[in-house]
Amino acid sequence: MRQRAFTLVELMISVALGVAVVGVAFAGVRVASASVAASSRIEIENAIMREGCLRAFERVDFWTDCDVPGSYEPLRAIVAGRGLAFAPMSLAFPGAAGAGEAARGWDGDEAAWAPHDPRAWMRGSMIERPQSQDVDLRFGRYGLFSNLDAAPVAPPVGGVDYGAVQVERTWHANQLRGLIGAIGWYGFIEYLPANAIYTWYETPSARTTAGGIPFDLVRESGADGVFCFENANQGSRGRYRMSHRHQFAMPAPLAGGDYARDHYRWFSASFGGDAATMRAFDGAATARVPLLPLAPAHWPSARVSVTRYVMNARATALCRVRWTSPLTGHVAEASFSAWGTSLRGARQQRRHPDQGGGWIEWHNDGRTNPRDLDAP
Amino acid sequence: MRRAFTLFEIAISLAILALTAAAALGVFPAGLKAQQTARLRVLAAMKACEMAESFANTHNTNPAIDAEAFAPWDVPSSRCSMAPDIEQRLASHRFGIMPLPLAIARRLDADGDEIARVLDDGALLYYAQPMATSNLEEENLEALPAAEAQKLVFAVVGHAQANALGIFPWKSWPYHAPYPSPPMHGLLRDTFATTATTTFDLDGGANACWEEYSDPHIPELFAAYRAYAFATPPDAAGAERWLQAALWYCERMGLPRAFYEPAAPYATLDGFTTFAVEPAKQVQAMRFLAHAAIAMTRWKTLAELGGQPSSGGYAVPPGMFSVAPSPTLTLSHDRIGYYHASCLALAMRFAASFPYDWGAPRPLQRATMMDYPLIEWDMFAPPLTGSLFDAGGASVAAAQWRPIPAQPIANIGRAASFPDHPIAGIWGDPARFTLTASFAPAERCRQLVFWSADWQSYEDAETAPSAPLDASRYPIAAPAEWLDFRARMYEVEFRDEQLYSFRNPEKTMAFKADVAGLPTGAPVEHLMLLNKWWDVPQPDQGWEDAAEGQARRSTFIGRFGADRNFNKRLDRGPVPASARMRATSVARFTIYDPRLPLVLH
Repeated sequence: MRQRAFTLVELMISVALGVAVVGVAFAGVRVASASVAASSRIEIENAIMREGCLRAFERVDFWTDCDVPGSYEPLRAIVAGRGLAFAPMSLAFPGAAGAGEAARGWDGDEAAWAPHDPRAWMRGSMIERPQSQDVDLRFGRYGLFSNLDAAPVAPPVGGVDYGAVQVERTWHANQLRGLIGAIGWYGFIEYLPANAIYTWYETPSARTTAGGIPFDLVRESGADGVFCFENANQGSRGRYRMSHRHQFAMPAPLAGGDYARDHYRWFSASFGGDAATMRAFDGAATARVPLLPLAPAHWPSARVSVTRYVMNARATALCRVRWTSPLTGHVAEASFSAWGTSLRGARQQRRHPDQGGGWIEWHNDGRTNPRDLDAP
Repeated sequence: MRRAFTLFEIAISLAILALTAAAALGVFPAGLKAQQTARLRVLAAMKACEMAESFANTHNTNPAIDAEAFAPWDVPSSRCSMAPDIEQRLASHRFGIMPLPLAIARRLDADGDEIARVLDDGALLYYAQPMATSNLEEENLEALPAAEAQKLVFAVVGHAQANALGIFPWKSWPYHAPYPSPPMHGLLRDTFATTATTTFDLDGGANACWEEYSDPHIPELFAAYRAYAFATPPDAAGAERWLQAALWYCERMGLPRAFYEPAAPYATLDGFTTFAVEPAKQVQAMRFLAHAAIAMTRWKTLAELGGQPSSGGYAVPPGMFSVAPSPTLTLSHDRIGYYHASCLALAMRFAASFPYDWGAPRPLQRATMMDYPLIEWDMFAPPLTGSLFDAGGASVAAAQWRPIPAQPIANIGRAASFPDHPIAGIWGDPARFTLTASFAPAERCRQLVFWSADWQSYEDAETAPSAPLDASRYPIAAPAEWLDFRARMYEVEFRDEQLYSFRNPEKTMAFKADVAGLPTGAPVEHLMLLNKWWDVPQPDQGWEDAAEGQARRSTFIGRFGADRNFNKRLDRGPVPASARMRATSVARFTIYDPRLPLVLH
């Protein structure tokens, strides 16, 4: 049989089929390419998000944005006589802890602050205020029962010179006075029991109430470095009342602010604040750290930030992972607040400089553990 | 004969090839989908962690509400919005979760109709608050990028429990008082009171010493205190009279001389076995005595008080009171120290030893969780019934379960706000108290279930009204003689910063006016309620989502929708409201659901 060539119809059908196959293949390749690209992009973003989340948790747990033993220790310093958050207590609040009233230096033993221990009770007058009916001390001299000074010399009030006394209770006042200048106000609030009232008595002066409560604790001034921020006539207060309107930030050196100053400063980040005060708060407390500074250019740029502060009595670690598309500029963020290691826990993760510094390896088998930053 | 492929065979082959290629290509979107699901799972895990942290750690204070009344339905403290429940606690404008508008939630289909079943059970579906759960002031936060977690919706699956009462509405116990202190006194809410003997004006309102309603000896004691404390100027005679009254009170409580005039050396009184007098009375007597004795240090010198260590001291003469004069006393510096130390020691021991004896306030210097009694509702006893208070005479029926404390409450006394109303006849059956009963872990477990759903692509994602608000989200003022029920709805402070449990959770994002006529993308910040408590247009008429008027009520319930991604622009998605949407299950987390209102600090 004579071999026949393809007919035109056959040829055209073949060509059409070929075109269809090529078209499908081309479309398929395009879809595949786009899918792979998108999938790859999402995979990278997911990896960045997971990594950012882990980094944030790591910071929350180990406070490595504030202090990395042996390599990054800006908060170990004592500036103008006041310690920063990771200053060793042996330098910032020196003394030998003990059971008696004369013991000085920070005593972080839980038993020392047990609710039933009379040494840990606040013994002041809750009604004594800078401006009130008690400005004339009509309710008496509570500085007689607990005082910073064992022998305070009170000036006469209303012509009555009480005379020199020996005060039995001095430990509690000295603990508060020492702590408030040892590791910053964030640490002061976090270290004291949650039910603590922030008051002590000292020798009365022009800077105290008539009975001897420092104005810095109870009188509004608006100035940096003064612990009390508002409501001059409120008297002594505790954790919630002191942090519900103004906040105490944990200054982050990486944020770039004046972190030494910010250790002893309150911020208006709650009601009554404004955008400027919020920026100041953010600038002090939020360390934004690039997640992958050496990543390929086509990867999203990402950063992780952790913001620590006390507000409404709650110690918060606010974590944010933010990434920006290199192609579109689209910014996305995952944020969460986390509950992790307290400042006290972080300080106890770190070996005291006298013992070589570095991280502590804790033993729970009866061996003596190394000294940490809280050690006297 | 060898034959070439027919055209048909070739066509079939090509078709098979094309199908194979198409199937292979279909794998790629599946990979994409897997990556997207992986992302949502990470986001869900973050959110779940945050919710657990927030539930355990956020404060539960709502200090701007009226906390007590003579009937439990007349104050918001006994409402479900105060329950220590994860949804009630976190669904607020600061703690991370917002109810998804019901109109949108009803359009979402999940496997097994799980979302529909959750909604049918009366629960809500939630979306993630767009701003970080920072508790910081929203309007001052920087412009926010898209919150990835908003691609999720979630619900708490499993039945809520009968939780402990956060506040006992008849008496907002614990009352905390500084030790030492005079009898507690303050603003008198109970304008119905007919037996008040000591009302006085202070700080612009009628004050009373409410403790006198629980103890017939307090009025005379407080009169001496008040005469001294509010005198201008005070004098030594007034202080001495206050001290005499405190001594007189000791004797009225049956306490012997050894209680207030022990022999040196002075051992701090730190127990209730030395004197055969009810512990609460010993605490009260030493509380007043220490306060009065310390006041004498303002008027006497150390030398007059016997020096240190004390020898002799100031002779306090008897003072004339009803029944009997006050006992004499040699007041010394050391003895004042004994009073002060004993006052604190007795108060601390009393609070720790007798959590269900309310005969003395708890020491403000040392507030602990043990100050808070365990009380739950008895849901199987016939409820208490009555009517909502209305000075206008209207009568709306009300009912509430009866409370059951862990132990019978001794010395319950009267409430500070309504001392003229006895607290009696309210208790449920103690046999049904379960808060301290052992339980299996499964009884306290619920599930956080997350779904992915692009709900923000709905055209009404921001204009749909807020999810229905339980009435318990609106605080009301406690009864007062002059308040009809309508007035009780606006005679109440809407303190934004202090009322997390009593607002529309979407409050800060909610629109104050109808935005339906605005074009998509229009700026809406000026129409958002935000949190500007100090910046309301008419401060004398209350907050913009409180009080009277249709507009304010509409704002409170979120009738006009909310800027749910907080970009301060009106967004509308392309999906019509008539379309249904698939919600894909992403993750499930089992959570422990406590029955007690505990906060970790």
